[in-house]
Amino acid sequence: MATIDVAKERVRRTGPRELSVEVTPRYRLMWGLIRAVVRLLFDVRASGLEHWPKPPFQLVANHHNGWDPMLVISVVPVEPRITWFGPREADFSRGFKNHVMAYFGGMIPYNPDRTTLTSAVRAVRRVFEARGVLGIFAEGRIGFREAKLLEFEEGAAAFAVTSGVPVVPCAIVGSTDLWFRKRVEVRFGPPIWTDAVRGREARAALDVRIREGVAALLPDREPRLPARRPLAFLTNLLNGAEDIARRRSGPR
Amino acid sequence: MLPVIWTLFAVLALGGFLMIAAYWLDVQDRPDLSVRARIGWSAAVLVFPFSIPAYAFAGGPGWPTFLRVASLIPAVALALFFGFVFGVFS
Repeated sequence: MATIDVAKERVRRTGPRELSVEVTPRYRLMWGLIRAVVRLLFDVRASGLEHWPKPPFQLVANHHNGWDPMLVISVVPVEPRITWFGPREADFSRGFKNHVMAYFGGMIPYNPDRTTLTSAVRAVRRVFEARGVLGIFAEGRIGFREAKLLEFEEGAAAFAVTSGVPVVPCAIVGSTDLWFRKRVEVRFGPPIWTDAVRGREARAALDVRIREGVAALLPDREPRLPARRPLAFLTNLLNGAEDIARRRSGPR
Repeated sequence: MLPVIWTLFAVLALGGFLMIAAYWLDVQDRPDLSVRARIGWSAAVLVFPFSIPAYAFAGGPGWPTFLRVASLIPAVALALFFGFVFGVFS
């Protein structure tokens, strides 16, 4: 009885399918729906997909908006499946968005207060062992500048180094402010190989290389916003209350 | 013919709900609207079959053609609904 309760509690906390890495019919459905909705709402373009190495590998992207994972999914092939690391939410039994995420799965929640790094690392290994792709927003939170990166969270490259998989830098350009048919570009850079990285200094150097790899894909300057932005509410539709408040109060 | 019209109605009804939501949120999020205009357009949601096309074509939201055409969806869905109610399609 206690075992069942523990299992139920675990499912409640992390979502029932958070670790599914196979391309299931449910994932195909999600991929198709996301592709249709996102491509209807936005003018999404992709470049650099030819840089993708053979899976497994790790995608490291910048983060501007709650739409970002869907913007990436809308331009990538259905295989290999991308598993996203790091939604801070640990209770997926509350809220519409959480229920949808829990239903489709494909994420590894990580909340330092509730989940341990060991369990996160184990989950990431499963992704790589299944020849999947791990997607990670290395800044750890949403930034509001198109041409600038926030500091990367420590260990953005740690998972890739531990498993010896390459890292593909990715920049999502144009998702800071969204409106109907806004042009958004998802750019992928050449892979950075990690199999020869040994030691703390080499890891630190790799972190820098990854950051430079993402930064090289960013635009040179901040874009100018047009006066008319139809359905501009799309910008904050999927952002959390904390991010919206930070954007309104803090410096851009 | 009836199944086709039912299907059309179902699709348009769903699209109509989405358009009402899009209209409402667009009105709340437009920085160029005065408080009075915002209240006016918000209250006009009660007569959404008329107010959404009026907003799209004359309210100055800068909607592209696709959205302007889509603004007619709630009105068409409602017309189909009353068509069913009054037995037009039977």
